[in-house]
Amino acid sequence: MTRLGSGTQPPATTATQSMQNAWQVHNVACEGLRKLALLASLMTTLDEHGILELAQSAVPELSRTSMPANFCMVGGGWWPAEPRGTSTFIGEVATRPAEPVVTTDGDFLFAIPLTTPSDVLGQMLVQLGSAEEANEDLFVLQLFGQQLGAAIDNARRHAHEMQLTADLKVVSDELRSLLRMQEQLNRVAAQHGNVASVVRVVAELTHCPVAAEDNSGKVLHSEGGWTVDLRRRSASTRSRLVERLRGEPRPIREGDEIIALADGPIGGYVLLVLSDANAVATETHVRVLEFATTVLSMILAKSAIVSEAELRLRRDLIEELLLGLSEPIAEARAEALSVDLSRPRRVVVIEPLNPGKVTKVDDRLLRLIQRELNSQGDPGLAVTRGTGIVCLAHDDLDWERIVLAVNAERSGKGYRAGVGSICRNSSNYPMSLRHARQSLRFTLQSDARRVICFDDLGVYRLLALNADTTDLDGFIEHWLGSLLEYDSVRSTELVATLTSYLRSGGSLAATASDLFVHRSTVKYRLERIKLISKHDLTNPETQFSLQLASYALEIRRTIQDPVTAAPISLVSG
Amino acid sequence: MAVLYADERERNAHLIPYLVAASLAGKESICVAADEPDDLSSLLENRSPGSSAALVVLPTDETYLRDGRFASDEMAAWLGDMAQDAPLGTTHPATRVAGDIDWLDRFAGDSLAELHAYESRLDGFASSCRHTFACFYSRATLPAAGIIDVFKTHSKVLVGGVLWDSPFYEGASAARSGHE
Repeated sequence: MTRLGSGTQPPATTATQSMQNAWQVHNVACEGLRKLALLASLMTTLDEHGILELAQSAVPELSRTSMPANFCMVGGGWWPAEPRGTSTFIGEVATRPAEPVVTTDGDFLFAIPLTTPSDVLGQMLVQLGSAEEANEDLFVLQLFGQQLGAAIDNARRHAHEMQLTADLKVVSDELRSLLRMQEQLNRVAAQHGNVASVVRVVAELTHCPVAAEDNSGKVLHSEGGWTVDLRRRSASTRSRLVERLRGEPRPIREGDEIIALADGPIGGYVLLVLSDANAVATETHVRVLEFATTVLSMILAKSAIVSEAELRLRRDLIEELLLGLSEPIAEARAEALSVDLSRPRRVVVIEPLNPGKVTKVDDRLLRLIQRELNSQGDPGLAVTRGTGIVCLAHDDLDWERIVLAVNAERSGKGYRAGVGSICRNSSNYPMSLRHARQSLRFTLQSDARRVICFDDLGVYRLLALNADTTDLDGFIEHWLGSLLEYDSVRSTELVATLTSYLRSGGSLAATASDLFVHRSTVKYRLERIKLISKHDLTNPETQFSLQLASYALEIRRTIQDPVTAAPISLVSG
Repeated sequence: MAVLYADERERNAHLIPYLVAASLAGKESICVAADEPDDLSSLLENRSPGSSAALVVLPTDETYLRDGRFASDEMAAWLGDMAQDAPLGTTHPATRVAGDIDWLDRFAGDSLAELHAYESRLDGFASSCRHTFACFYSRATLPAAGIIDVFKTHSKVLVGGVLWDSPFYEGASAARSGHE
């Protein structure tokens, strides 16, 4: 290839002097063009800054100036710096491209526009020594200006595309990450996950410590090296935080933590807390929390629905057993609820001695008793009824302990328990319920006994069996009617004296001691009793009937008004 | 010759054929500077199996950057000695030498000025000996402001896969000035 600009010029003679000069100009221009071509091929691989750097160092090679060029970019200011003495007339230079302005130092200053087909991106300021120099160099410099304009425009478009690509990659990565997160959390939801599994997935996805906190501030589950003590948040602070979260569409940051709220049904909630002590959390972390709380809310709702359904089924089962539902149906229902009916159970009724204004028991008491039953290994079949709870409990539970625990947490109510007779099959439950209620009535008369089992009622068991009191009332009336009337009219204690006398085996001394009266008073009263009742107290059959009538009277009074009935003493059965 | 490359793939696309061709022709090849000389040696040997000619790869930290600085004097002296052994017009075996300059960002100081001075010295004796010298410049570490200097000290430049007679080459300008 013939190299333009070297080795091809004709010999210099006087006759061809003008041609020689023209040839030299041609060679210089050709060499300049070759330089431009090489620079152009290089500039396609540079960014805007690199192009300007290259151009600055190239200008002295493309012209006779020894001064590096300066650039005034539209909207970008000077690069690398504003040349000295130009500020007053740069505007003038820029509006007259290729026309020099003479600076105060006597230099010729040219503004070479950096152009694209549609725009001017800036000016390249080149300082030339003389007008002659300018004439020779300006052609190449102007071409270079166009070349620079195109290269810078190209570099900007390329940078813009690269930025778009990078932005797209960020968005794509984020979307991929969100999809992965959504997939994992969806899997948790689909696989009947719980709070722990959600917390685990969030910790895995965010690589941050995560915890779930319930209404009371208790940490339900934590993962990822959670060390923060959530109890530092007081109940009022937590309450304000929850209110704030309910008003916010997204998780919020509080100190080193990002917190999201998963609302459950009937006012319950779970706080999902991500610890960001190292300030590494990004928008993705927030989105993970956001989606996790959605899944968590679904889980809480689902769990509540399942619990509610199970509770309703249990309640139905208990009610049906207490009503005496036929055995196969009860057993099928029990099996569906994983309740073992083959195990002996007892019906237990728990009620407060002083219900106060409460007409209906709340669920907290039910949960409390369930917890106590569970602590003794009984999954617990319990329902609320009126102001109390009815349980179908294993027959070997320590009810003293359970009632003690209930009273410890619900002080002031004086809860009592009546434990019914044992149920060996499903048909026994109605009777056991009746026995439990009867036993409960006795506890209401006894200060010392908070729990009474029907098995311990002795003779009262026989008297209490009949729910219809007509016969009992007739029996009492026959044997004690006249004495009761006398006591009622005269405010005497003949029935109490007779009862004590008979139960002490006919001992005057014991009766006197029991009633806190003198023996002679007892003797007097016995005489009055014989006279009024017309019964022979020395006849054993009469004694037995009178004694039975006194027990029956106690039962009757208990049934009528358990609270105000006189305390009774239990006889071991 | 100067080769401007964007990445390792482009470098190897020029460097390996350059060295391997000499090796297969029975000429010695020396590649000066490589961060992982074993890897490059393996690549070269795979491309020239059975070649009896020496194919040497020298690590950067024992050549350009020995003692943790740009050892321009030592390098110029070593290459100068090599050039003196095979002056033009003799039959002394010619060697292909490749220098990979991807380390300009690794030392402080006025690296461009020092590099330009070094390349000018190298250009002086490279044009008077039988050896071929090719300087491979990593565009990732060579500032744009230094490119013109590279063009000034190399008669030929390979840019974007195209071989140019460098119009900025000062030796050539000087030669032309002499003719004029």
